[in-house]
Amino acid sequence: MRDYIIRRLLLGVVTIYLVATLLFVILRVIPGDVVAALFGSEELSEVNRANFATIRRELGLDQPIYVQYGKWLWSLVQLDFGRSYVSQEPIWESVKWAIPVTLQLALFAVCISVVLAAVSGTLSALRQDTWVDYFFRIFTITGLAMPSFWVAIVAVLGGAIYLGYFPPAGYRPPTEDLGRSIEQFILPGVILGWRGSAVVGRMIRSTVLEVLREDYVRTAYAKGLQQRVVVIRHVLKNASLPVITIIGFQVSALLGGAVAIELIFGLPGMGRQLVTAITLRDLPVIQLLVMLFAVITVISNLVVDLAYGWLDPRVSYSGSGS
Amino acid sequence: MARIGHTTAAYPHSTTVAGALPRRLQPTLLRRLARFARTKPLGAAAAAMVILVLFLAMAAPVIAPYGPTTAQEGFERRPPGPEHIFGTDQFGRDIFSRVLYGSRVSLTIALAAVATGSISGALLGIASGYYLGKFDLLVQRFIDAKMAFPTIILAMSIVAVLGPSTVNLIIAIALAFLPGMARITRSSAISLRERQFVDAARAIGGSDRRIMLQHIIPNAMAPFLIVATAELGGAILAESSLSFLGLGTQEPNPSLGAMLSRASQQYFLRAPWMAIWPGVALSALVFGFNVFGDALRDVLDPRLRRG
Repeated sequence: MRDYIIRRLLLGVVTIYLVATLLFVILRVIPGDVVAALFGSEELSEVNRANFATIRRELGLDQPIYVQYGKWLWSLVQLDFGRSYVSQEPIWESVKWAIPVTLQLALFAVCISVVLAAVSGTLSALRQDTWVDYFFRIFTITGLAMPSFWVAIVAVLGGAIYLGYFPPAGYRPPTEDLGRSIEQFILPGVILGWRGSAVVGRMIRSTVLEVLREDYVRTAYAKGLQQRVVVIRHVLKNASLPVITIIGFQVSALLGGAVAIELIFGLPGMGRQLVTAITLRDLPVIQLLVMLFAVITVISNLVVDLAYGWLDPRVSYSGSGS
Repeated sequence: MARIGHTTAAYPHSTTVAGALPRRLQPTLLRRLARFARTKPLGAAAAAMVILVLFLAMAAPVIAPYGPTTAQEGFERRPPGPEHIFGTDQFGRDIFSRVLYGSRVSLTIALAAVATGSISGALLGIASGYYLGKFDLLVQRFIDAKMAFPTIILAMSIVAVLGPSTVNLIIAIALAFLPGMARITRSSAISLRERQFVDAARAIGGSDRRIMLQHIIPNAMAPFLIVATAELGGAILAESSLSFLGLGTQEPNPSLGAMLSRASQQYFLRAPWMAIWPGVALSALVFGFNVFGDALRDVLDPRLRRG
């Protein structure tokens, strides 16, 4: 078990290193010259031309590519993220406030999606081919088809107009005002979670259907256990393993969906900052935020893998585990 | 292509060239379509919907009553009515026409992106699964790294650097969808390379390239088609999200995502149709591709079934 954890952690470090490399390739190598993209190559006036050279030097773009790459990695290791082009402030100072907001949103969304998925998937499977099943299947299919930013617009504006409900504006951390913070995150969390629950719910439905046919479930019924007990203790426990894996994938999709949701609900998270940074073409900020998104995904997958190993004694900790 | 359904067991088509298939197999294809409609009514309905939407999008210039960018003065924010069945937006542009043209833009970008991303992903995955060893290890670790970026975030950063244009949007979405396909085809290639017909081909002196092109790729078609269809829905969503965020298709060009951004929210109180119709169209497109993809998966390869 310890070897397994160590191997997983090492693999996580390798992945993060490659993530940094890939990001370097995407942002620095592919387009040829970021600064040209930043300024728009046609509109290089005399003033801009001076800036152009300065920024190139500041970014180190006049140096050979391997030097730039080395510097990029070294700055990451030192956790030195540089200054924003726009505000001239150290980037970390503004970004660090956005991280908990996005994490809180993602956490809410994951929890809601798991609960929704467990309920809809299990009921669907237990009542296979009845109207309950059809209802939940339509619920999941529509959840997958409707873009969450559209659902959010309709929910926020529709709610405001027809129900007179406005989600509280202005972010407050949960440490300051827990009730308000929960109220603020519940609607965005439900909208994001609905989408996530579609994928997970389908998975739960099919695994529960499979488990229901197992001998040990028949045995459990035969010894006179109530359905509730059989479902909770035997069926759900065994159906939960493949589900955990897919939740890991969901985190990445949730973070992507969170960008538009943060914008619509006015949550000052990483997604909103990223959109602003892209609009302002603030490259160092873009770099750091995208890197953080990837790191969060890697860490959550790592946690899922470890949870999987811990929950399922059949997972082998030796050998080359995939 | 029509044969992929039963190649898994006894009929790896190891000698036929894929291009020669359709004429010979046409009767089977028709029969298969009929059976598809019988066993998968929902899937067939979704397929019909996809075909209808494709038709509407292609025929947009003929069907649309107005040009997508024609602004009529004095007709701003008109509710749906006989002249403008979906109403008009804040510039007096016909929303129905914009939805038609917008779907056309979304579909074009999604199809191009999925084609580019899937084919390059599949080639990479097949080479990786066929050669294995160090090459595979390297490719897989990079794919791990790429998968760590949420699709939209990766596409956003690519657009941020390249600038928002149609071609860049296609590149961004294609790159974001590449690793998933590479994973799937790699696992097909790994299981196929151990099969007897591959051994046989190698025994008669077939080169690696020949084995991959003629033996592995045709037999890996089923998962490829399934994943590609499923990705179309995702690509449409990605395009619309990017356009919604202002990083995709730019005004005044119509795009379902961009139609939902600021203006539609601003005028929601007085003109809710501005936000409703593009969203309905978008959901219908994604719904069609998703459900069709699911049905296709069940028919072509039940083993891939997940729910």
